[in-house]
Amino acid sequence: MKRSAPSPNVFRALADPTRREILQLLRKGALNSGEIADRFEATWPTISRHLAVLHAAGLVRSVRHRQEVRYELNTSVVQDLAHHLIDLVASLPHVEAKPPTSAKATVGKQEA
Amino acid sequence: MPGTSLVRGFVVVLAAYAAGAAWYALNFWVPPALRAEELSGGGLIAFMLPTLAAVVLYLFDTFESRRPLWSREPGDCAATERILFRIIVFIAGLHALVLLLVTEVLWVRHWGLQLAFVLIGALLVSVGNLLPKTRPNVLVGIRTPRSLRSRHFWMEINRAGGYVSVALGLLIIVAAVGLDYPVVRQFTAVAALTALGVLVERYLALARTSERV
Repeated sequence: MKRSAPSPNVFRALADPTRREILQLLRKGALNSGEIADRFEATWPTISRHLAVLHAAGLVRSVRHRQEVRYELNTSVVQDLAHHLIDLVASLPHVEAKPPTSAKATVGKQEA
Repeated sequence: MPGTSLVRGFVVVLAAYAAGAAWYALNFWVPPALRAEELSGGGLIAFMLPTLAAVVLYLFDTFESRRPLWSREPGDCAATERILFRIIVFIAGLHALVLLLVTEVLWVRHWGLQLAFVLIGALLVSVGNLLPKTRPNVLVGIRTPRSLRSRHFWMEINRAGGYVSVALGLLIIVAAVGLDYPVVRQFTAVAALTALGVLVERYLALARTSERV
């Protein structure tokens, strides 16, 4: 019997500040990867990799809309609460937040 | 072909039927005063809830086979199926509770009633948790002409509904564990009305926002 591959840890996906920002952005509505990348300093391939991690964790869904693929939020209430909790902990003064520029390295590390 | 959640739902229904049939057939194991043939509607107690669960599953399966009519995205149905599975588990749990009460395994009746409230709370939490993952469909979620017209509005109002449902479910569970039965009933009624009010207010606010956009 064929077994499906385990989905990446939701918490690992939420650990990165850029990915949390992407989720926050998608609350306002579905966007394509270019529109999301426009709102970040990181390059489009980096944002695409972040979206792939979020998609694999089941936190976003890709929906075909005419000729383009749009991403929409697909979090449950518990995942939303985890998102807010991690944001809150990261915003505490004694926790050093990762600068968004390190997002590329984080993705690269996970892929390895 | 039914999805994994539906297949699991059918297994749960079969188990509930088996439990009901065992209770009905082996009624000499229960106290004489409660034997099935002496109870009015022993068959009803044994088979009513599993039959209800089977009907719910059958109806959903029928609707799902018509899915392309109301849902264009292939993954749209996944959350709905998972919610349905939780509803089936809830009905099976209620059935088990009734059988345990009738056979006097749960000998203190008000504990059973409090357990029923815990089950209701658990259903609200588990369904509410998945509600934001649903997309416009014919069965599950906050279905209004406006939410069915706009996918974005559906997602927003069902996300709000999910939060309200989870909060209400948790309150009911805490009340059922910590309070006596009559108080739990009153508390649940007040909490449910408050939750409904919050949801209506949220709906109107979201509708106003979407009109402005």
